[in-house]
Amino acid sequence: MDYYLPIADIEINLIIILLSGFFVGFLSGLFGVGGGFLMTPILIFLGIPPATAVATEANQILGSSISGASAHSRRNNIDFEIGLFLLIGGIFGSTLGVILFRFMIDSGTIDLVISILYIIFLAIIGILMFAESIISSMKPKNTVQKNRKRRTILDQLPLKFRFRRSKKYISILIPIFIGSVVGLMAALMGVGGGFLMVPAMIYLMGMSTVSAVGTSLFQIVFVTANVTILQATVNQSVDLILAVFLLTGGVLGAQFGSNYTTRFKGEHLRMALASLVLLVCLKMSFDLANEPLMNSRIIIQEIN
Amino acid sequence: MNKKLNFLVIIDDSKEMFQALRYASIRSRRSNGNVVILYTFNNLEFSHWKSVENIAELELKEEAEQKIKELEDFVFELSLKKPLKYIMKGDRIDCIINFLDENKFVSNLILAASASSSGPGPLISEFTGKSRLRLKVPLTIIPSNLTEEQIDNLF
Repeated sequence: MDYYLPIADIEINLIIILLSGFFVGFLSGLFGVGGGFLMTPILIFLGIPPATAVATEANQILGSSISGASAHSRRNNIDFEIGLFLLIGGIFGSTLGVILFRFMIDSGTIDLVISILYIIFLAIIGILMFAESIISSMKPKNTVQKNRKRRTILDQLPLKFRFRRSKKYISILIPIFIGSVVGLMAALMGVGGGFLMVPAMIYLMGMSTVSAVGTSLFQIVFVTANVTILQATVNQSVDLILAVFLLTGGVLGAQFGSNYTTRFKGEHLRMALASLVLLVCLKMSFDLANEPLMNSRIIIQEIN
Repeated sequence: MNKKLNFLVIIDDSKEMFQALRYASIRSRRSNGNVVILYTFNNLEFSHWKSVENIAELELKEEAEQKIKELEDFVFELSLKKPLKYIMKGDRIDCIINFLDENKFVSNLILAASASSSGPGPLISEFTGKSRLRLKVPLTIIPSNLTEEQIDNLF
């Protein structure tokens, strides 16, 4: 079932795409995160040009987070006030990201930048996941405390706003900043950024976990929609056929994965994910160090 | 005096839950038994970070205790006894089945049907459908068209 993908400019077996979508979907069903940070590297490993992989993955995240966001909306878990400021930041960050993306395509550095960003980012995530699994498994369980009353420098920021739903009096700069960083990442790396946004909302803004997850999904839907539209129009890098197959596999995988959440022990699961993240990181570094990417290889022919 | 009967009610946010709680309270008073309330919660579907998961669990437990506290008085007023309270983590259906298997003193599971056109509610559908074979205590369904007064005067 080889098929030529017009935007990715590569002939690829769509069954493989479907299976990869399923695999990452399964993991995201298990962990409740989008899985963009795994899908994009896998696409790159399969030979999809990094720029197309990133832009198309943003499109896939859009599709897969809609159902999550609407489920949280039904359960009334979304704080739309905070969500609005996260979204303002997100639109700003992602638009900036797509413009940077354009510059890097023009200067021919985009593939390299994506690879480097991913290597750094996967290394940090993998190590953090390992570290916190080990640390928190050593601590007895009932010592978990919410240290939320502490005053920090964040309380001294200007433009404070009273968020009624979450009962917080905080500067709007905090959600705007968090949203911008995540938006920038959505554009440059094709991730939703929930794994980063959720802890930031909990620790920096003191939101409840349920509301943080719901509100982050709300932001992700609109930010990835913005990224998809801009990437498609400005950079022509969204491959719709690729996205459809990824999404189909992803949705099936997520359904399947969420059935298994209760069957595995959280700790083992997290260790497995952390190992996978580090493995992908190693493979990417190896590829970067050893071989020029197919698409950037220059072939010089001598003509006699 | 008859044997003491203990009635299990599953706590959720539905309106009809109060019907079930009322029925259970009245009946337990008549039979000198207890109302048993079970609150189940599922952990957050976000398990990427351990520390986030820990905070989530703490919050969900607090929420559970809060909810149970609110209902305690309601039960006490009607049954003149404090209910027996349980909180379990996990899939709701699995929790209920496990709870009933481990706590044989429960004589009856009380569920109230929803008046909604979309069906009697998820628990009744489950326990009269797919999970009926796993249930080992009688299930009482309170119809949605009984008023509070009618429930009070059932016995």
